[in-house]
Amino acid sequence: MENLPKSMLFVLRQGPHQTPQAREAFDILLMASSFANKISLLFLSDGLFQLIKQQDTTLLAIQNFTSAYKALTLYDINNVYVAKDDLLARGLTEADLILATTLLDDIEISALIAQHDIILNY
Amino acid sequence: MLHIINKSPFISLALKDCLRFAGNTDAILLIEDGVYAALETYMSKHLIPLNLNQLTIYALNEDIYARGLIDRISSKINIIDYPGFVDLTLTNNPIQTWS
Repeated sequence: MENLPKSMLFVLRQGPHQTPQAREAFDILLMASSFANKISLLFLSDGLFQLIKQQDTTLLAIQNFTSAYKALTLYDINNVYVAKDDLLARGLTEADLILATTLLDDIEISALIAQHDIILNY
Repeated sequence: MLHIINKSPFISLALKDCLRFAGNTDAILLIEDGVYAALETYMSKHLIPLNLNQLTIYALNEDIYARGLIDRISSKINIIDYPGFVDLTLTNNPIQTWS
């Protein structure tokens, strides 16, 4: 199929459990992985709280969709980026995250956004 | 008086606005995304320098666990569960929710 978009970037800026938005974005990116050639994820601001380890929603009686982020490689999604400054501001390090990510500074993030064909914000 | 905060301090001014007006002996309860303010880094950078020694800060256990924060929160935080939440609403008057 010639008309497939070359690349798609999901910009994820919401915390995981306050609103359904983060969960919806996750469902959409899995769906998109079946037709887009290349998908990248960029976690900014409170979005990176989605990746924090040890999330246990048992007491809230809701499903913890964030553990499914560990399975992203099964969907051929290997490009996961995190804003370095936002991670530092929250006192977190790469060791606090459930999957391997690439840390980017703001200049690198500008370049990353500019090189994608489609940008989706959640 | 009890102040309830349910927004992340990284994207909302709810907690900062609350702290402008909170009295010395008031209690602050962090729930939902408000519990991100209980992070050790946030507390030591933004709250402890304010010398709010009399102010008691509580955070809801259920929301702390859901967000994976149990090993990452400040020792200044008093962790309570839902029955504790109810107790706070009974022993404090008035209650303001800074949503």
